[in-house]
Amino acid sequence: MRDALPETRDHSGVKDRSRLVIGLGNEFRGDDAAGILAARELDPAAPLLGWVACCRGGGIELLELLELESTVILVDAAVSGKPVGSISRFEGLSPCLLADLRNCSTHSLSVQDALELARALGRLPERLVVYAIEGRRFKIGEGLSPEVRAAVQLVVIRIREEMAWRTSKTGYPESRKTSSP
Amino acid sequence: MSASETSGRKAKQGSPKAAKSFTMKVEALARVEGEGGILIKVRGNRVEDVQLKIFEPPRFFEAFLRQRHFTEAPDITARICGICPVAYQMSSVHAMEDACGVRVEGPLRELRRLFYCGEWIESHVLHVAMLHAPDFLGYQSAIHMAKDHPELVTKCLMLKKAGNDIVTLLGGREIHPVNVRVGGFYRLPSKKELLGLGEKLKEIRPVAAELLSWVATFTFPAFEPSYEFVALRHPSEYPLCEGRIVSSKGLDIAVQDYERHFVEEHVRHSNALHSRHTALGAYFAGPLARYNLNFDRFPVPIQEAARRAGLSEWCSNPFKSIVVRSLETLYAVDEALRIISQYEEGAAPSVEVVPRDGIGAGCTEAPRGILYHRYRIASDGLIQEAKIVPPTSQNLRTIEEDLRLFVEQHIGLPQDELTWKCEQTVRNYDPCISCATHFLKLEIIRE
Repeated sequence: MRDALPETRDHSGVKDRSRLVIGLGNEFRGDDAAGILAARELDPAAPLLGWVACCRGGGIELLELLELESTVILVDAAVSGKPVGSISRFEGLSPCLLADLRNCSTHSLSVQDALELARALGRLPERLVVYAIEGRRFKIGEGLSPEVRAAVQLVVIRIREEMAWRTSKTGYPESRKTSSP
Repeated sequence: MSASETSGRKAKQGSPKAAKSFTMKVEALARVEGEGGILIKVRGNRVEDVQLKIFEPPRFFEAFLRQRHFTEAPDITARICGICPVAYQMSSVHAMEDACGVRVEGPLRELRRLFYCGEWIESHVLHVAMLHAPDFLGYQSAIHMAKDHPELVTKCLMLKKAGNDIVTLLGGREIHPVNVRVGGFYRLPSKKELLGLGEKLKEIRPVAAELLSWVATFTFPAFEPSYEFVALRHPSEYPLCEGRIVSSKGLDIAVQDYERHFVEEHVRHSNALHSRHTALGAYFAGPLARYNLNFDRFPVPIQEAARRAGLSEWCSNPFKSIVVRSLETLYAVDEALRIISQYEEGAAPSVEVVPRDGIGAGCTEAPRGILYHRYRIASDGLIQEAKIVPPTSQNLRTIEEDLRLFVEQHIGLPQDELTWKCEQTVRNYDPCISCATHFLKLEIIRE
């Protein structure tokens, strides 16, 4: 019930706030835990990545986490009809992308609404990347699907790679930038 | 609601309809917490049926609290709601302490009030600015409103953040706080930490005052039904965690007598139980009830702020609940500053609580109204029985009655406008539907 470790949202002492990985979701609702688990996996590597945060509070909390001049990577569960465990990666802040980011729940502001609100308030990041992991079960108390658990591990690896490329001169490989099953 | 390239203002469509039968249906209520819908059937000029449909699935917290240790109650019940976890924690610890014959006084009591102030601020501001204000200004959503009022929305988010910061400092984190225990807290903040928080609150206080001034300029429908308001009342303070349960129709009872006067019932169209006062039926809990029954408990500056905002000492227009929520937000900032200025370090973080066979009840003022918990525990500390009555489920019957009366009074409005006004009527209560099913589709059928 009580986390042994503090949440990874302490701003004090963080030197590098230009990069931000946000895991969204609810760890008590089955596959909706995907984003939170990805963030927790990344957290031990926080000095390399700059900053990792868990967002359980929905769109309003997401809005508070966004920084104006940062690269933001969101990780969240998704429902799109793809096979469970599928990983989709989206880059960019186009209206088409945002139109696709619909919430599956009516609880609080959706990711789409949060990003649109950030746009209205002039608080969008410079660059936004979304990793969406296809889920299947979202009821309270349900555990993580095995396919989603495997996908979380893969997303964590890809984010680590991506952030390492961000610090390199050649940048993230183009072949990795499109959606992948 | 999806973004739009337009300003997002809703224009009146068509001319008022001649009286005829219809059914109004809203598939999914927007800008409320949780999943619910409305069905209204009208025949001629008469409203035949009103149903506030709650299809949020039941959550069975009362069942799986059984055989858990009494010390787990604040952690488990906090999960009922991500917006008002403090309320659940406070009602649960007061109920457990009542069962064990313990009272928490002094600095710990004050810190609990401070903790609650944080939740009032973040919950009220979220509702006022992001969920309810758009209705009064003709915007489809807060996003559309933010495009025209970016500075004000930004300030409101900062004010909400200040409330979150209080909850984080006292509770360990803002979502499902982890620092609350039966008997007090696991860790107390230092005076230095509190003073730092106090500086943030002093800076943000003008925003709370500005929010109140802003909502006071809204136009409110003339709608003042007769209600039985129910709230806590304390001998000396505006109620948060303690008091007797009183009503505007003369009720004055101890918290422990709640179930002698209020019952819950199943209704076919809702996964959430409906409450009623056994003597008088539907009743009204929440900010308006607290305000009407405790205006004299406000500090004088808050009373004066209420008058400047156009409120008298009594208000029975539910559309003006947005003004009262804003006033309570300002009060919560001031109360938080008072507690911080008077806090002295040195107390132990908690008092000892030894379980015993018995029943305990707790009732605190969640942002949305009285939240009642009652537990029966055994001497080994295991919970034998639990009952939780959230404020939203207590208001469901009243919301349906409001809808009935409002539609009857505005039956000639165009369908789109009437539908929106009905949704706004529901949002007057800032319903937390997921709480109510521990728990907007609006369908108006014209026949």
